[in-house]
Amino acid sequence: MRPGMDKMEKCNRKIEMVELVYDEADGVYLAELRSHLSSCAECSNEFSSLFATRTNIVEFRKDVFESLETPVIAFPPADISENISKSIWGWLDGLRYAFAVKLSFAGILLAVLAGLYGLIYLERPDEVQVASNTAAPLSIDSAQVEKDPFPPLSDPLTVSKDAVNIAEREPEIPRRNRGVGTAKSKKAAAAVKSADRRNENQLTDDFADDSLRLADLLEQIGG
Amino acid sequence: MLRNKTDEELVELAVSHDTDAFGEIVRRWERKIFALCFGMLSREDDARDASQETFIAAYRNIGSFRGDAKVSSWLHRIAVNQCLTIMRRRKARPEDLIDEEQMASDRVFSVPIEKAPGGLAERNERIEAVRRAVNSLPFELKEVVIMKEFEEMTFQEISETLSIPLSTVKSRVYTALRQLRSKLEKSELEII
Repeated sequence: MRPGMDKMEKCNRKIEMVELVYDEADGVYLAELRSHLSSCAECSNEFSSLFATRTNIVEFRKDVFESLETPVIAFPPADISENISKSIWGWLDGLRYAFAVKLSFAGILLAVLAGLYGLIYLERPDEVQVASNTAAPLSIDSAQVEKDPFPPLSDPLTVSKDAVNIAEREPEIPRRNRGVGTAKSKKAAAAVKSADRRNENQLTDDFADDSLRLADLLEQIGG
Repeated sequence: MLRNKTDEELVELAVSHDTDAFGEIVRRWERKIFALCFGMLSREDDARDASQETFIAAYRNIGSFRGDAKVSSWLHRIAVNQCLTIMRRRKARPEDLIDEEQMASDRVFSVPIEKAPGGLAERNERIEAVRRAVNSLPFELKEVVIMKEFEEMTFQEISETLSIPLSTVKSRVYTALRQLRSKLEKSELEII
């Protein structure tokens, strides 16, 4: 037998004993248990001891707890969600009121600036156009020139204008790329020269054609 | 109208954002939850906080409530978890333990004289001894004693709430009572 094991555990009636202490014993076993307690002194002592211990706890509860009021559970869940939404909207309203004048002033200022910029743009479209042209990437024009440095004579101005643009942009080329830029500009300059030469030749040929026709006419008259 | 509904029906209504239904659940269980929290924590303010947090947590998680458990069991588990959280917090702050002892003593010694015909000091010492004895019980024994004495649940209800066999509940209560008796006998010897 284990030390500390007493008659109660030997009887193995502890469960019935607890039921009796808390007045939850089944009617069938209740009479049997009562008769056992009347005949077994150790079980009777055990029951008295358990009952006294329970009585102490009941007194403790009555004295300490039962006088306390039940806490008022504020209906927090709904209140919390409402309060959160209210506080958020309150903040937004506060911000709106605080910055209403400033925001409206900023809006008006922005509108005025946009209007002024529009006026400037309408009055000086050429400069704006030139500015946009200079901002165009260099590689596109030079590539075009490299690809077709001698465009058809039907549109000679395009070539010469692009070439002039390239020539004008030469100072903007970074120092480390100056060699490449110079080569490109030389090609462009050559293209300009050749185009001008062709134009001159063309003009010369036209005059020559006219003179021939005049000579033929004089011959016909003379003849 | 809501008073005629079962807990499970109220939960169904509360899930569909019927705050009155949840209010009825609170009304039904607030005293028992408060008793459980007070029994576990032995401090009124902590018990109030734990009760409040229990119902807040219940409302927030009501959508996850499964119908296979009772509402009372569900609330009980939430409340025990809240109490454990507060107990852990107390352990992390030892100064709270000193306050707790002082407040418990103040509360015990503030019992009215008319309630203590056998002598105020002796009675208060016994109550304090019971409080200490209950608090020193292992958690699983303390839990069943609190459920039995403070929540006034039957063995069957405790068994269902904790999902343990009925015989285990009775055995735990028996063991708890024996340990309490042993502790109280020791404290009586100390007093003498």
